[in-house]
Amino acid sequence: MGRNDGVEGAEEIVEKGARVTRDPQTLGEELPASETPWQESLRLFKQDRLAVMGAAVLGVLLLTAIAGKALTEWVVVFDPEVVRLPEKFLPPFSVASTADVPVQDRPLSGIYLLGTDELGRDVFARMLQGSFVSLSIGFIAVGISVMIGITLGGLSGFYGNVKLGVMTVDTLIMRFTDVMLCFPTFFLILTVVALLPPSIYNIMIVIGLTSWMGTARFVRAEFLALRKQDFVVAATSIGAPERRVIFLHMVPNAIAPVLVSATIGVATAILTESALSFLGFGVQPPYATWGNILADGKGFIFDAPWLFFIPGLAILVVVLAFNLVGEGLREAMNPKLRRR
Amino acid sequence: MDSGVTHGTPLLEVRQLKKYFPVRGGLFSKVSAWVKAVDDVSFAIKHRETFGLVGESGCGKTTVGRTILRLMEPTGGDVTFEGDNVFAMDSQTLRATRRRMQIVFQDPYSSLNPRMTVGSIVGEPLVVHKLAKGQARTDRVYQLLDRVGLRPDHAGRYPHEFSGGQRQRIGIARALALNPKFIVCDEAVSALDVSIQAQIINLLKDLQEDYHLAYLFITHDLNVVQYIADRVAVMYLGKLAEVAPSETLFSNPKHPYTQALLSANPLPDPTVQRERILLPGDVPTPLNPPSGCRFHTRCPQAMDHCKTIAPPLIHVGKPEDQHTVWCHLYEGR
Repeated sequence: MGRNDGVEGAEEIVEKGARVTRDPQTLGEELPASETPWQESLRLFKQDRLAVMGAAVLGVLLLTAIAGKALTEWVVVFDPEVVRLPEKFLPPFSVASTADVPVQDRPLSGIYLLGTDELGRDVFARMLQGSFVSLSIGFIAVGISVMIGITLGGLSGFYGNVKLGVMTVDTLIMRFTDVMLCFPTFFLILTVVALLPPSIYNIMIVIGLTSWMGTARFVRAEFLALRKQDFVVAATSIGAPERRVIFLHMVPNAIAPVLVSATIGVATAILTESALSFLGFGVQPPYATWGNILADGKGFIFDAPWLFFIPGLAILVVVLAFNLVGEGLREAMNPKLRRR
Repeated sequence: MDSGVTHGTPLLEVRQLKKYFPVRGGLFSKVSAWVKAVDDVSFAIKHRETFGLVGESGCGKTTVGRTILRLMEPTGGDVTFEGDNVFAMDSQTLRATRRRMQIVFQDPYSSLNPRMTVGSIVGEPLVVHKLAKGQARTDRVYQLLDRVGLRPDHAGRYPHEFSGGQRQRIGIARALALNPKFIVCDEAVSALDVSIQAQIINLLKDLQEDYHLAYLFITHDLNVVQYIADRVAVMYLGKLAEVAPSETLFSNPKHPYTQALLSANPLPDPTVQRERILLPGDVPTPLNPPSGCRFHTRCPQAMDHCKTIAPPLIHVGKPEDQHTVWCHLYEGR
């Protein structure tokens, strides 16, 4: 009943006096298994083979980084700081000689997996140490930049119309963002790092403080669009307080593009750190990072090419993996692509 | 304003409601002009009444609905709801008052948070106003879903798994959760196809009987408004043109705009021939509305003084009808 064929129009139903309370589509019909929006994104992400490969590489990298931290500092199996001058410039997979090196300085199972550098240090051990440095700088720097970006972008998008003296909150924050974007970021970082004592924490903070602008703009745009959405107006209309509207209704719906840009941001931060270390402004020796291994290796590019290629390839693969995962996430979480 | 004065106290009284939107431009975003979306609108809605508000797109219908609920801040005027002045409330009182007045939106695809389950959407009003917890809240959500024709096991699902009609039912369940007295239906059925429209309209009628609701039914669909509304107001360019009981308005429209609007509405019977009143030109921009009567630029019966003098409110027809019209044609009759 009540299932009109659409031609008769609403008036016809009045005359019949038909009363439809129950949705005919709902009666006794089984819906397919329920899927949350996150589950749906995950399913779509899994269909993207390149992105899954990227995610696998990142998984391996994460394990390597943690193992690297553990094996080079907590339980020293691979000591990146042991200098063995008789064994310098050995190519990868060389066997350590028993004659020249004391027993306690020999690498595990007597093989230099990735060769040795100009001081006879084990490149594998140095790469392990560097992987943790690179990854932690990437994550912490992006964490800082995302936090600043969400806060400023959210303020600008939600309280943008509030007047502060001569200008609005939105004008103030977005013009400040524009100013920050005007600086050539890398040279700003170089300047700051040159003035500050070169420590790994300073580098994280400086990279974080100079890379939040994109996120802020994203979040502001998302918030401006979401504020006009009916479900946000609906939340206000049922009397929800502002913080509930912001954190329960707006943030979860604005977070997807932030996640994408954060993933790609990690790659950028790793690159920035490598570049800084390459120029000698980054993490200081003897602490190894991929950037300073690369920098040390550049002098011996013809004699010992592995010193150059190993950190270079590692940076390439990791940055590529982060970018692929970011692209995959973008497609999996974009509602417009999802509708297809 | 006596435009909508009814016998007994009305549930909701709107007096000289104004909502202007600033147009900013130039250096330092100076306000260069005002869009007068709603300009001096007054009416009253009785208990358990359905008050239809019709008009073309952009005439300010939606703005009226949202301003009454203070989802937009008004520029001027008064709204009295159950004796309380809505526009004078502080944010705390306003949040408490929202329990008694709710809204159902036009687009069922954007009115539900895609990241929340149906159960938490319908139950959210109860959380916000701390009305029920735990099992009591779940029971109430199931009861609401059942009341709007959905199954309780739909509570764990997400909005994107439902059709437009089902989503609109979810939106209605959310509006009902707080036991309101008054619901603004903002084009609540316009986005649905005709058969689903009929279901939702009948559901709204049933609910009105059971819960003694009053509706402000905003729509551009004349068939729908004729079916559901007790009284109808016709809006043109931010002002009311005519207010009358539904039957009177459809059988004996007074304002030339209402007459033209009704003549443009297709009849279900193709054998009936009707003379169409074709209006010349387009709706003028509310940025710079015509002087005098706002309809004079398109009115087939416009007189000279229509261009300069805004028409006053005039009572026509039987007194018990409270049929009012804003038109110079009926002056002195």
